[in-house]
Amino acid sequence: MFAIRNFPRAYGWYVLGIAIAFVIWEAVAALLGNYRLPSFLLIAPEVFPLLVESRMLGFQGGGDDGYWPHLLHTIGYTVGASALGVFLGVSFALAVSRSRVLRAVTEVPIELLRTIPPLAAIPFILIWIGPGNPAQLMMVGYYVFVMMVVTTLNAAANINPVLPTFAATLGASRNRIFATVILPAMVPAIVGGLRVALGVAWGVQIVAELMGGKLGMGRVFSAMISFQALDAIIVGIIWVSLAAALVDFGLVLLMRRITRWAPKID
Amino acid sequence: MNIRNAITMAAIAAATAAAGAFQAAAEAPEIPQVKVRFAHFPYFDHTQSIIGLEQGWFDEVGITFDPEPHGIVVQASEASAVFASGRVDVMSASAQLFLPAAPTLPPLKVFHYADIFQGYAVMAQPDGGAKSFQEILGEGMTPDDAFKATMDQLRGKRFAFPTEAAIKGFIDLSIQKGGMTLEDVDAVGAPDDAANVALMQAGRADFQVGGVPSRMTLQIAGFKPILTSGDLAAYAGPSADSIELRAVFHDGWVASDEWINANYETVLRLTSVGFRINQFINDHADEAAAIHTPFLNSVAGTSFANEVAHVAYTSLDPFWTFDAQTGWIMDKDNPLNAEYVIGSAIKIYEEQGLFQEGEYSWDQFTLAHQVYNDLAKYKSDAETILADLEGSELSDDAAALRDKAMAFHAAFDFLDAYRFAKAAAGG
Repeated sequence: MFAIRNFPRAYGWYVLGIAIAFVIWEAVAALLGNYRLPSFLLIAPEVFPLLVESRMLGFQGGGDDGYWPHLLHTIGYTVGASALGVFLGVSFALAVSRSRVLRAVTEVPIELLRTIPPLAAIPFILIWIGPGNPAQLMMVGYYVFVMMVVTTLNAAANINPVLPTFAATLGASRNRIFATVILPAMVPAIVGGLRVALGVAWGVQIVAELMGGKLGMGRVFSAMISFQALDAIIVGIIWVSLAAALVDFGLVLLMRRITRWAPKID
Repeated sequence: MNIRNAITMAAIAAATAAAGAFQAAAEAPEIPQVKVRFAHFPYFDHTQSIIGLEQGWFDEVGITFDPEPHGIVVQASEASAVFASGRVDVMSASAQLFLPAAPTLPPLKVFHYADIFQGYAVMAQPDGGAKSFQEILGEGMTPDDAFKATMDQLRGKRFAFPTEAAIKGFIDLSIQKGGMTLEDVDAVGAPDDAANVALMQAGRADFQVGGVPSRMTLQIAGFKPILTSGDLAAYAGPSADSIELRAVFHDGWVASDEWINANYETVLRLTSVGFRINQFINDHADEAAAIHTPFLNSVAGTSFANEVAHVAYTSLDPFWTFDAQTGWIMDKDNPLNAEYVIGSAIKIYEEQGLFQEGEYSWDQFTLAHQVYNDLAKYKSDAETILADLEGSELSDDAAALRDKAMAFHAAFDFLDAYRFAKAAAGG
């Protein structure tokens, strides 16, 4: 009863925000016409059926099972390649952060590599490893890797110097200070960077799938563009967004658990 | 008013009327100045309008491309989106390119055919040992068996192609003729032609199909065409049921129904320049290539020599003249009649259940036959008037109008030839 009574106060603004977005969408759709922005009322009935069957996708060689296998592929490769990139990026940065020389040598090249636009990277990846799943893994992993290196190096640089100094005065060894003071102090900043990197990874994964893999939402979008099927593209965007939101939600829960000792700011 | 005043007024009115009639007879018809938002694709068969622009032929009929001087260049894969955006009035394209998007686009039509595109080819690696359809046919196989043997070389191999709609007919037909499905090959939908070429050059794909620039780039580099649009179309019949017609299509200029209806005279004038360009390409291929190829290179990022244009003009995208296009428009026994070529392409979508049978007909995507017939009618009418004027005593103004009419006639602008001839004749 309490929850129901408090619902308007707790969630009313969210509902109002969704309602305003819906009204704006419908107004713009009416203004532009359905061939430029379809009404959500036309799209809504397609959201679930397209998940399991799409003739247009089948026509372009995307299989007969609708969006489902493509969405699963995109989720799997985004999360998997991101995990790989995070592991390698954080490990590399932690190793580098312990040496002033190594850090100075690697920082500038990493910063430069980070700025390569994914679209510009496509021809190189196609030539080096060809289209397909390994190319997707490499591309997403690479972008997450460089983002996590930068994030982790910044986190290391921003640690309050009082903390390791104080630990040292208590007689802690260099390795122990790193493991029990520096590393935990870096975690909140790394977690923040991880969420940003994962957000970017979704976009990079879709671009990577345009390189010609058999599966993936990028392939779905590519097929639908040739039909100018805006409704089907929007349905794809909705599913990718939902998947990204769910993965992010799971990541937030996981990270709250990992950093439960840290003070929370509401 | 007394009688004298009345007579004076009547005399003035009669003189004014007579003067008016004389002026009408000698007054030059106006050609309106029109800006057309024009889009090209970066291909030989979609950039020929540069010849008309450079020669000043569009200016002669009052047409300027917007944005000046050349309009815009878009990728074929972006055609439907650009068209839907309303950013262009006229796009060099084909009906086939817009077929899959027909349910979601505003009604549009091809109003002028420029060329017949027969430039697709399955390209093979130079050192892969693949045989071409013609080579296999030469070994004594029947055409059906030769098609199967040619395409069988792709089985299990990586086959790259762009997901652009116009190319789909050729790919599906090739696979079908090989007795295969796309599942039998390692199909890769490359993002664009450049990526397609890169895949082949890096040895990351075994076979490829793309637009003419990609074919020419690969062919010059030693890659081998093993099955071409021409190989397939050679067995086409005069019917929309002839699947071989899916290997070819008419390129031309496309506009929305709304724009065509509001600017029909501009449509006729654009088409007249189109035919003038085609005639020039046929009569002066070297000069045409010298204008055409540098422009294509500048927008496509290629570095073709002018000689490559000759390959396009003579075999890959032959531009047909006004007289030759009678076959595409009038001749029901001609397999390349637009009714059959577009009709055959529509059936691809009907077979896949994307269109209901009979939901779309060929003439919902083209108006070129009507435009052609209207121009032919103006041509005939202009010629009749000009024949009547021969040997007549004409005032200087009337003679100037007749000369202009003849110039417009020679430039395929039969609308203005008729208007000026009529004015010269006093009508």
